[in-house]
Amino acid sequence: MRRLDGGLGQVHRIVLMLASVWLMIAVSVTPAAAHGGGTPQVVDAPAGPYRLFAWTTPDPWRAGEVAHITVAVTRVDAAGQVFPVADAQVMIRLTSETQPEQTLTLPAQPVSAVATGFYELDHKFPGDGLWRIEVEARGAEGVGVVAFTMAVEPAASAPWLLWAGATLAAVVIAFGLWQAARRRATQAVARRTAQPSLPIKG
Amino acid sequence: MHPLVRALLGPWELRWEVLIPLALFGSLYALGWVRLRRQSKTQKVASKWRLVLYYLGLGSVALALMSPIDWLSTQLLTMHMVQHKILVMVSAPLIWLGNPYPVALWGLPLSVRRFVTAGIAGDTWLRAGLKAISAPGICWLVFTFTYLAWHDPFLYDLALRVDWVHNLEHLTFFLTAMLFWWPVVNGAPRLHKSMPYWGRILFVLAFVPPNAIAGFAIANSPEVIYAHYNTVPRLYGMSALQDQMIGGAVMWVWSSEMMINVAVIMLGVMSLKERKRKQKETEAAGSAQKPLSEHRIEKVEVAG
Repeated sequence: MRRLDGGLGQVHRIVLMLASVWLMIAVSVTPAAAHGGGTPQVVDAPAGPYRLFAWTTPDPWRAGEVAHITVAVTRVDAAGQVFPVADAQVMIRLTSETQPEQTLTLPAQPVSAVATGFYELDHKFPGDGLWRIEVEARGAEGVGVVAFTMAVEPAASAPWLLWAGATLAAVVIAFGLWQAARRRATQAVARRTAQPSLPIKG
Repeated sequence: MHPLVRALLGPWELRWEVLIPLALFGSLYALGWVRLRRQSKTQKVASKWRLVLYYLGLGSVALALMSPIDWLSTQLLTMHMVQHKILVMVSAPLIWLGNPYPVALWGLPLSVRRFVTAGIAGDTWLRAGLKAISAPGICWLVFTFTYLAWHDPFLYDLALRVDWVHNLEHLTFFLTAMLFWWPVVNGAPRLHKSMPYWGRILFVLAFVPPNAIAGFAIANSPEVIYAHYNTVPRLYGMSALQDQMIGGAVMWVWSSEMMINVAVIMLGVMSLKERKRKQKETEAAGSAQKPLSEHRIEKVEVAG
């Protein structure tokens, strides 16, 4: 075992090489915030020259937490073929129904090079209550608008799931360490009892 | 170029929750492999073909979860099925064939390695737990149940709606597939008596009927089963129902074919081993007869 652990110089070189490879992979691929999906809010809604789709995550939205909106902008040709609209300008207007003066207009960004025609927005809602979400898609063919309403719930008092998970992990780790320590102690006692403390004289 | 092919050739996306475990296990394996190869280049634990299969396995996980397949799986049931098939039918057996446990173990520092081996080789709760869940019957049941349960319309749609449920779906698919392939590949650590080859053939073939029934039912359903696919734009030239037909066929044909292929390979290995055993027996019988005949000649000479 010791012999195999020896010669760490080469091992360090391999570690460095691997770290470089992983770093290269990490910088060569684009980061993804979410990989699609969500609760559908708008499905194939005609909006001017376009047909719009919208999904939201998480479910429900909570005040003070990041809410995610994904929008798909498509157009349909005379033959009924659906095409994504890759060069649209998508703006999302958020209006509190209880305080209409509280209005925000934010641009949605393209999701990724693969998700052509998909745009997304992350936003932290300042307050709870009903919010009107207006999606405006502007492109070479014209402008289309759709709207839907979302209920934003009050902020959660404590992220209980996180605490429960952390507690469980701590218990498992503590149990594992305790088992290991107990086994080591048992082995030490066994070794001591196996060796006579005084030399046996014949 | 067809829009689906163009999308499949698109750029990959970085997902840290995928990349970090892949980098960790890939690095541990590489370090262990080099250490073991330094000891002997002819030993079987860390061979070149095992290295290739292991990295193909990790690469296929990356392909399923970071390539455009991942995004397309939210748009097309067919691509979602392909993604799942890669995880359970390609990645899991390839990783096992790489013999990951002993090799990656040698990638760990001495103290950690001792800690891990003590946990698995000693009389510990970890070993007891692993032994309980890795009994072949349990492996088969856990995988088959998990695999079929996630195809329930409610769970499937939930996974497509909620990101962490989707990740949980993929994680459970992969981990239970690892359990399923463990007794088939007979990978280390071996906590049970190795299954005979005929047992492994039955083990894999027993998965064909439930999978085929589920795939057939999905492919032949007159309605769209997974509502999510009715809520996405149909950008790839097929309706939700056509997509479902192809997706169901992928599930039904790919998994069944994979299991039948594995059974045929097992039959081949079994007959090869049987032939070798008979050859050895014949050789042993030949060498046992030789001294006897020589003894007879000596007797004849003495009598003469």
